[in-house]
Amino acid sequence: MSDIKLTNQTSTAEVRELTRLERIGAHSHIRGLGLDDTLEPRDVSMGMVGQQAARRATGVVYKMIQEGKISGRAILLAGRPGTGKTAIAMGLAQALGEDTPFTTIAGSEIFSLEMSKTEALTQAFRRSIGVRIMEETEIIEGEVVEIQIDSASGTSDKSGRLTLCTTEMETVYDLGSKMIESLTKEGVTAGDVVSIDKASGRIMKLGRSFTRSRDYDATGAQTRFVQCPEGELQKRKEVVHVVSLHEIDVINSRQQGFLALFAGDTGEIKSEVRDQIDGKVAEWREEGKATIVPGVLFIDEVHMLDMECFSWLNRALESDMAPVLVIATNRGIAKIRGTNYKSPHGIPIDLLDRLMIISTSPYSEAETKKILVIRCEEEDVEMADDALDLLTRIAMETSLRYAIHMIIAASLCATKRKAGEVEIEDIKRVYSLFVDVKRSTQFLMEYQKEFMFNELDRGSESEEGEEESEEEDEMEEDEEDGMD
Amino acid sequence: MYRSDLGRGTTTAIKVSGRLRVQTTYEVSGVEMVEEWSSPTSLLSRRWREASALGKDGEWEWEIGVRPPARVEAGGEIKASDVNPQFIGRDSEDKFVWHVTRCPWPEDNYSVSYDGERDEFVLRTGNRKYYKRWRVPTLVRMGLGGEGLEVRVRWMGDGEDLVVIEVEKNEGVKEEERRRRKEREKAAEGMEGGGGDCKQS
Repeated sequence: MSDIKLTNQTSTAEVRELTRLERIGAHSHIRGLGLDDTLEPRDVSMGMVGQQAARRATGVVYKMIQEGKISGRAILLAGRPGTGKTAIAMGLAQALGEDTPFTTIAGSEIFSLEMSKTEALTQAFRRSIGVRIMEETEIIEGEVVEIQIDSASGTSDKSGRLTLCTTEMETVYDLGSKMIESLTKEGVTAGDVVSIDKASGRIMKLGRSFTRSRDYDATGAQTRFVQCPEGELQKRKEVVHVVSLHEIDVINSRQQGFLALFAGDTGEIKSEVRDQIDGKVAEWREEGKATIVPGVLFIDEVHMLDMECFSWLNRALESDMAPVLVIATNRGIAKIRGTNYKSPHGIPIDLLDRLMIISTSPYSEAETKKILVIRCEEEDVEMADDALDLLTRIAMETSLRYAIHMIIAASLCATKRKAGEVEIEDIKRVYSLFVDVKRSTQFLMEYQKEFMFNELDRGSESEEGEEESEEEDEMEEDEEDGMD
Repeated sequence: MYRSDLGRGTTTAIKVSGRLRVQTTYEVSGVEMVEEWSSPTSLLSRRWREASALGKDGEWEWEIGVRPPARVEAGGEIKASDVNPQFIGRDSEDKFVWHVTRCPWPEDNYSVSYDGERDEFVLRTGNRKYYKRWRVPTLVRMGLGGEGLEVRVRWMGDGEDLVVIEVEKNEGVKEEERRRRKEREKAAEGMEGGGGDCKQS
C-alpha cells in the first residue's frame, strides 16, 4: 500500500487481505442455532451438532424473545464442561440478529475495584435493553470521482482525499486514516456511488454509476447500476436505530463544564439519571416515538457471582424493564460464593426456582467427530480419516477441548514435515508433547514429592482441590508449552 | 434553526471584549441561540444548537458568521476540504446576505432562483461545480415564505473569488429587527450605567 496514488486500480488482492479481520475464536464456527422453520433442530447445521433437546428448548426461548414475551424471565444452561453451553448461547445471539441487544459477560467480570458489583450488573442489564428510535443524521451521497491516498514515509499515518460529485456539484473531502481503511475494505473505486454516514463514518456502496456502465469488463454479474445522485451532496436523513439504555445513561450522565475533565466515561451512574431516563423513554413510548427492544443478557460461569448478586438478580428480574437473562454454569452441588451453604449449581434455591433449566448432555462419539470436522474446516486444516478417528477417540477419553486444541498443533507438525494433511503420526506426536488433564494428574500423583511446598500437610489442598479442577483444563496447554 | 415553534425565550446579554453577546434559551427543550454584535446594527455571528433526542448536546450551527476552526482535529472522520466553496451567512440592515467563498469561476456561471414548492432558494453553477439549496432561517422562524423577494447575485473576481447573494428583507422582518434592536440598546445602556461590565483590574 505504499504507492502514492490509488485511484481506480486498487488491486483486489490487497483488499481481500484486509477484509478478513475476524480472528478464529473458540466459538467462531457457530452461526446460529441450526433450527428449521418449525424450530426442530437439524442434525448438523450452522456449526451446531447434537444437543437436540437443549437446542429445541432454546428454540422455544428464541421464539418467545422474538415475540417480546419472555422479558423478566431467566434460563439456566447447566451441564458438564465442554458440552456446548456457551455455543448454544452464542447460537442464540446469532439467531436473534444484530438488532436485538445481546450482552455477554463472565461471572467474574463484575468484580472490579472501580464500581460496585450491583452497579456492574445494572449496567449489564441496561446494556441488554434496546430502544428503537428515530434520529436524524447527516449523510453524504454521491459518485466517487477520485480517491487519492498519500502515505507519509516511515509512519503508518495516512491521509487522503475523496472527490465526490452529484449531477449538480462536486466536493473534495479530507479523509482520516480510519476512513481510508474502511474505503479500502469496502473496495470503493472511482465510479461507485456511495453513501457515507457522517457521524459514524460508515460507508455503504449503493452501486456503480450508469455513466461508467460502458467501462471495460471489470464489472461482475452482480454489479448494480444506479443513477448519479441529484442535488446537494450532503443530505439529512431520518434513520431508525437501536441504542441501549446504558448508552443513553452514559450520554446523559456526562459531567457538564469543567468537571468533565475529572470524570471518566465509565464509573457509576447516578440512580437519578436512570430514573429520569426511564421516565423519558416511557414518554417516548406513549408518544409512539420509540419502542423497547428487550434483549438478552448472558452470564457465563454464573457460579462466580456471590450471594449479594444473586439476591440482586432476584429483585431485578421482577422489574418490568428486565431483559431475558440466560445464565450458564458447569457446577453440580457446590458452595454458593459468599456463604457456607451448598446448593445445586452453586445458585441459591430461591433464584433457581425462578429459572427455566435447560441441561446439556455429553456428546456421543459420532457427534464429537462431527464437531471436530467442523473445527478442522474453521481452522483450515486438512485431516486424514484415520487421524480424525484417532482424534475422536482421544476426545472421548480426555476432553473435547483438548482434542480441539490438538487440531492446530497437529497441523503445524504436518506442515513441518511438509505434508499436506494431518496424519496419525502428527496426532501421536502432539499427544506425546502435550499432556491432558488425566495424564497430568497422574504424573503429579507419582512425582508429588519432588514439587515445591510438598512438606506442607494435605489439609489445605483438599479444600481447593475441587475448585481448581476445571481451570486446570485450560492452564494445562500453556504450561506444557514451555517444557517442550 | 428552521422551526417556528420555539416559543418564548429567556435572554441574557453581556459584553465580551467590546462586543455585545446575546444568549437566548428557548422553551423548546435544549434550544439555545447566541448572537454577537459589534455595534447595534452589525451582527457578527448568530449560532444555534439543539439537544438531540437522546439528550446529547448538539453541534453549533452557524446561521451567520464562520465557525472557528477546531483546535484538535478528530481523526478517522470525513470532512469537506478547505479547497471547496464555503457558504457563509451574513447580515445587513435591509438585506439577507450570503457569501460563497472560493468561487474562481466567472460571473455568468452563477444563477439564483426561488423554488416555491419547497420554499428554498437555489444557487446553481453552469459548470456544475457548486450547488446549494437553502431556506432563510429568519423567515422560517416568523412563518413567512420567500415568495416575491428581490434577489441579487454578484461575483467579485480578482483574487477575491467571492459570490455575494442578497435577498431583500420584508417589512415585517425589518420591523421585528428594529424592535429587537431597541431592546438590545436598552440592555447595553443598562450595562454602561449600572456597572454590569465589571472591570477586572
